[in-house]
Amino acid sequence: MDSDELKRLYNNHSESVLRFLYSICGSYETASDLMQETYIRASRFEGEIRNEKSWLFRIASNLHKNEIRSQKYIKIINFSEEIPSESFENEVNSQIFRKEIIQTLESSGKMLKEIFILRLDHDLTLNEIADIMDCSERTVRRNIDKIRKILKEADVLK
Amino acid sequence: MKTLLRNILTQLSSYLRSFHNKEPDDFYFQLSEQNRDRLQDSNILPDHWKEENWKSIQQKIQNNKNESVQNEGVFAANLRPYLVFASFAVAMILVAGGWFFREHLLLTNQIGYLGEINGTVQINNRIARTGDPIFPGDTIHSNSSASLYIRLNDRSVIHGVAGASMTFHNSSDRTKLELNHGNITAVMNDLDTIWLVETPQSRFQVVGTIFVISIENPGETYYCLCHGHMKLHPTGEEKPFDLQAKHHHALRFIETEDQKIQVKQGTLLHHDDQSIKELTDRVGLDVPWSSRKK
Repeated sequence: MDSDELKRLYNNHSESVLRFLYSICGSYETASDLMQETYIRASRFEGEIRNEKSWLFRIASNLHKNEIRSQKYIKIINFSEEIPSESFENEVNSQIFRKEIIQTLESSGKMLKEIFILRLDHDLTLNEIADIMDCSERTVRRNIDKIRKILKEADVLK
Repeated sequence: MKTLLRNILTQLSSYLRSFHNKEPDDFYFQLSEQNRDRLQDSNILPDHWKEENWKSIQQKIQNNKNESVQNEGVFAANLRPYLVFASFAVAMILVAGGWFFREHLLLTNQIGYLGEINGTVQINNRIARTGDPIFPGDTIHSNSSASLYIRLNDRSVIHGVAGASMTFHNSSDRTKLELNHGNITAVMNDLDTIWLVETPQSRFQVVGTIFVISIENPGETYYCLCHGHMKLHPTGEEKPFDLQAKHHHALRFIETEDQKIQVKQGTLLHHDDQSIKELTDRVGLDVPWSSRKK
């Protein structure tokens, strides 16, 4: 992939990729490193890309999985770390609320948190999520149902 | 068929769902707008994160390129001795393979066949019949009362009698005949082929010659060069000597008590001009002395 094409991909999707990684790993430093690695991997690719966003998310997700496997990355969930606190009170409260929900999802299943983030924050289709998570669409749908139940128990759903 | 239809319907349904991006159980559409805002990612990224990360990505890509170029150089340098060794090994394998292939061809090449048999003759302890092929390494043994004619590929003929026992060996440069027992008369047809004949007492280098060898007993070998020339090398002698004959030159190799070989002049035994003519007729040779003697 040439430099211009990489730059275009970076301008279009880097924020989504970074936010996604930050949401799943909870550390801006790690998310930033993984995002950079995602684009380094992407630069080595030669060929046609069908869905740029889900392709980048898939690379990012796999890198995150590798990071967990290699145990180099110690997972610390702290959503308020390193991010400059420029938000208003309601935003802080939102973060706390989101954090609680994500923690509940994380304790209920491996894939729930990631699927929740991909669906809610990045508005990806179930097909795209299945592609990123390297699983069937049916599995995604089953997990979405679990998320729905958890959200219902937390009185979040209508 | 049912499975195929089910798969098609599942795929179609999946496509339609993804197209509309609406799932009946999808929490995304069941969230109130307020809750959706509360749950969605509202983290604020640091200033200049985009530029800094892009610089870092470009730097890392450049470093990776430099590293790979360096690694290629190191790899090539490290690989050189292995390549030399591998080339040498491949060359050795090819040479050895070629040698084995040639030896295999030599061992499996027929060198002649049994032209005629009177009495019991064995090839490698197996009863032989007229026309049986002879290969390198074969031992041909005849009973004391039997006689045999061996026809070689170059039309040379070997006649064996009196319990003749011999083994043929083939190598890349010559054919060797090892006579262990009995009496043979040989008419060599090909003037270019070098034969090596071995008896317990001597070695002969033969080129296109007619000769008679008889192992009369374990310590005594009779030899007659009927016509032509050959190189003789008695066992124990340092150098061979050349022998030439126009009309029968007989020698006797006798092993003495101190295990030395004594060479004596011999007389015409075991054969005559008539028996030699019978053989040369089989080969198609016209020996000058046979007509002269008559």
